[in-house]
Amino acid sequence: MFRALIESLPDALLVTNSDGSIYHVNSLFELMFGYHRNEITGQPVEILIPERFRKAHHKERNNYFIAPRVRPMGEGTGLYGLHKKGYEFPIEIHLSPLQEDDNLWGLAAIRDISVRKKMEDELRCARDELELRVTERTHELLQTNESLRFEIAERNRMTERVHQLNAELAHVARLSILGEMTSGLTHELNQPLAAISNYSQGCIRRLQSNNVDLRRLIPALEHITAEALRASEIMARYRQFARKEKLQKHRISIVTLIKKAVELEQFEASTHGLLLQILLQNNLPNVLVDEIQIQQVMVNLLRNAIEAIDINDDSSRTIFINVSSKNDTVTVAVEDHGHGITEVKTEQLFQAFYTTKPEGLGMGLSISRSIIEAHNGHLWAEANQLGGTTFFFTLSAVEE
Amino acid sequence: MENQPTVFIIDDDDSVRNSLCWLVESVGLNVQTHASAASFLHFHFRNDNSHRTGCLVSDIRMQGMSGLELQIQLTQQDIRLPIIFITGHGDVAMAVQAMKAGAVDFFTKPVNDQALIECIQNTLTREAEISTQHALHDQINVRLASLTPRENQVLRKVLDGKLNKVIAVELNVSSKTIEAHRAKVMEKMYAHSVADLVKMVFRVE
Repeated sequence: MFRALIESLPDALLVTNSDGSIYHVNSLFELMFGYHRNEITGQPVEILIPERFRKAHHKERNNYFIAPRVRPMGEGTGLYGLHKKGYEFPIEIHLSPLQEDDNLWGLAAIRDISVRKKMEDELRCARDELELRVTERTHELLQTNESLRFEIAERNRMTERVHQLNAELAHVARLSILGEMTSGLTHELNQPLAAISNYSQGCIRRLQSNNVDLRRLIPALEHITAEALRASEIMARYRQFARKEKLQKHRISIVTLIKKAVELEQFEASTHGLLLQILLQNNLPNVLVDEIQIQQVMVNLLRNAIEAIDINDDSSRTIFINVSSKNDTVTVAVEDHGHGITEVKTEQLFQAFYTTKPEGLGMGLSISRSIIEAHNGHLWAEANQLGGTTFFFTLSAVEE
Repeated sequence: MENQPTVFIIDDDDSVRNSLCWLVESVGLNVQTHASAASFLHFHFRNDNSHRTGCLVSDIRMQGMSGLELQIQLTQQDIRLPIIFITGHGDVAMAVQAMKAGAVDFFTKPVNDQALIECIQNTLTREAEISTQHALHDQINVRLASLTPRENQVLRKVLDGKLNKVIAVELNVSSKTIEAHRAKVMEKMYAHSVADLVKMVFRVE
């Protein structure tokens, strides 16, 4: 029964006496080591161990039988068996002591792990190779990365330069528009100055008449103060417009932005007898833009619209500024009912130096378009149903 | 107040309009302000305000109807109100056009108060004179209309410097009859002398 059990085990089995001589083996053992059980029985167990390990093994074996214990497989690695034919093969051994009456036996279950080891080695090799390749590739990638980074830096420098040049161009264009706006500015500034002059002259005349209640002059003096403030606000608005700055994007409500821009042209429009009407959708979002540059685009479009309307034409005295938003895109439309543009001209309008105005430089729309494109938007024109032109531009909405 | 002339100030800029009002009122003139030409016209035709006398002080450039358009409207509707224009810088061309169309004067902003007020006062004085003359005209015309055809016939011959006797022969009536007609004419025309009568009739004809 015991022998049958030993035969049926899936591992090679070896039983030794406490002196280290082989007592019994099973058939798997015979297969693994190449010895017939008859020729191996009684031999010292070291016969199965490569020469270089024998001495150490002998000592270890003696120690083992003094304090026997179970040593499971996997504990202790780098063990090798020696085949009868003289070649070595890697093994794992499960050791357990076997006590029967006064006799102490050593029971060793041996497993040939050469296939596993081979696979492990191959795996290790493959891994090493992979690692090597990865290292090489990483190195290559790092190099590519480096040159890419350099290229990106170079490109960024160029983009920066283009932005700078664009900003300068925009500034020059602003100054040019500002030149055109000067008459509007003087007109507009003239209003509070005239009022101040009238109020103070009225005060002087009342004071000269001798029978004046001084307290009655207070409202007039308060008006003078308010008008002086109004004048300085007008100045500030134009001065801000003329300021030279590189592209500076800030978060601003599209409503505030459009209202401020329209204010700049309000006077010009009123002197042409025109009305600027802003139509706003509910809940319009914020945008991330350079405020002055977008104002510049608006001023440009409004000026075009104002100039497109014949002063003697009574039918179309209103310019509509329509602001709407959909899917994170804000669209601003400036719509006039002036003499309009023909289909052919629509795209030509945006070319630099193209102008239909005798005194125009022809840079306005081209610069406006590059400003809007620098904000990742689009600027285009369409002929509208009322015979005029509608200019559209888009900006991206930003979250609250 | 009703009979006092009014200075109508029209300007679409609130502060300019109010400050002009403050200035013009400082010399004790009656002022009425309007923010647009349309508002003034509306007032003028409402409640029979058209008999009001005075003058207009108006901005040339305004939203809606401009000062020039207002001037044209007034002329077309035969409304006699002198206009003084106030202009901004560089509106000289418009000012010239306004002057040609019969404006009294134009001032550039900011206005010289002395000049503007003198201009307003002169205009109002002249207007008063003109309206007195108009009133006189009307009076004379009413008196002329009250004459019978025969009295009128006599009047014409008197104006020709003819003596009663000559007139009597020409009209084939007695001198007495002519004398009676003549006395009636003098009475109806409120004339103290023939010279008076001549002046009156020449004033209207």
